[in-house]
Amino acid sequence: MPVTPCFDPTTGASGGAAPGGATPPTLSVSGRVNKGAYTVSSGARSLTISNPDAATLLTTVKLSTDGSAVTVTDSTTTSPSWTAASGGADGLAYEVTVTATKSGATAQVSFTEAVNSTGLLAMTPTQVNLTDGTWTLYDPDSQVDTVSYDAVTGLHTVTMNAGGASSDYNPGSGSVFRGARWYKLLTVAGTQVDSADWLTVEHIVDPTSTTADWVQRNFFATTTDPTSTTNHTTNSGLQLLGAAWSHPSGTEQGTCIGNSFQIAANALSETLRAVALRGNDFVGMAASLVLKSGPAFASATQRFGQYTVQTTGNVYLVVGLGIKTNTEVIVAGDQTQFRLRYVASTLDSGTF
Amino acid sequence: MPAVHVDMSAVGSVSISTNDTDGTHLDFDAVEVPVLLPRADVQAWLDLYDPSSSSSPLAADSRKIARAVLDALRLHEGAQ
Repeated sequence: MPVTPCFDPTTGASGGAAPGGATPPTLSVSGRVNKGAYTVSSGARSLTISNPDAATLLTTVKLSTDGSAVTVTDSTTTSPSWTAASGGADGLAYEVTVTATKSGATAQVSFTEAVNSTGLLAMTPTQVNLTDGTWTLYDPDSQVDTVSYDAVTGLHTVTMNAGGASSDYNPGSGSVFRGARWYKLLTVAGTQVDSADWLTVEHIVDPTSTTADWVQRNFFATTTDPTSTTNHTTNSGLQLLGAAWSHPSGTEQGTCIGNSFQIAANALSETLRAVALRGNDFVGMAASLVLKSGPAFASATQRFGQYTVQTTGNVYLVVGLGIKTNTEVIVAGDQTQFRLRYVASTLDSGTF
Repeated sequence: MPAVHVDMSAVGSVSISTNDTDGTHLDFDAVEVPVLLPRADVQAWLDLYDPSSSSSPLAADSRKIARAVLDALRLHEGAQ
């Protein structure tokens, strides 16, 4: 039996009656009407929901530009919250949907929030959620068993299958890399970034060294050929450019370009910030600033090369896991944890 | 004799993977010591080295570079 749509003229909420004719629950969101469009500031966002019928609530938020899901804290309560990234000079837009369900009948309030960007001032980075459906896992040798995401802490937990023990899984050794990696197309303000564009990406990584069960070497970078199984600095494959970290031996954080990694060791390191510059079909340079508690300065690294991009076209974000030493064995069940964020921007090519 | 210096502010402990002068891929924990040769002295240094001769460069010339690198290493490692 079809669901009968209904509309509340007071709150603007829409919904459908249950097959048995149950009335949709009453639902309203403070300061919001159904199908409304609003402008907000970047940073912490929250709603106050009125749910007098004690219906089951669910609030979902997605980025308009690519449909990626935004993590919502307390999404089933009357006070859900999330973080709106500023998205650079043009800002971003989020689609928010609050759904109330009771006895099979639903009511819904949906609206759009555009971020009133403050330009380049105090930008809020975009949080990476590898499980939100916008990332693709390429894992030619089935190194990854599971990946999970904690919506509260932003931490990913990856559990591995047995593997490693070959330079093929070390992104910083030789020209072959068959390790697991997640990738997605990189957009800035809804526009796909091309290798010809003058691109700046700040990669922010919070690795958790207490959960790093094998001697690993990982990266959060950009590439134009994310499913390549070669990784050479100058002439083929992934041509990585971005942030890199390794464990154990303290917390080691730094940068990578192709298969060349420079990672500084400091047992107190907590957060890695790596800025990568590329454009005009060249892989350029990456520099890192590593922070420890305080925050205070811990270390810095840089890698540069000005190498010609071999696969021109779309630029992707890529997150890869590997081993640091070629003999390192990954035991089934080994885990690692990390939190990833980024800010990407491009310059008008006419600037040069 | 041409001059040699070290960029002491950039000396640091790193885990590095990169390529050697002969193309060999390197991958190990290291102390990075950036050596600075004044542009005006580059040709003079090249003139002091004949890679086809096993006795080149002369010990005195080699020592100057070696001491610069080793002094930087001593400072980094806190040696007295």
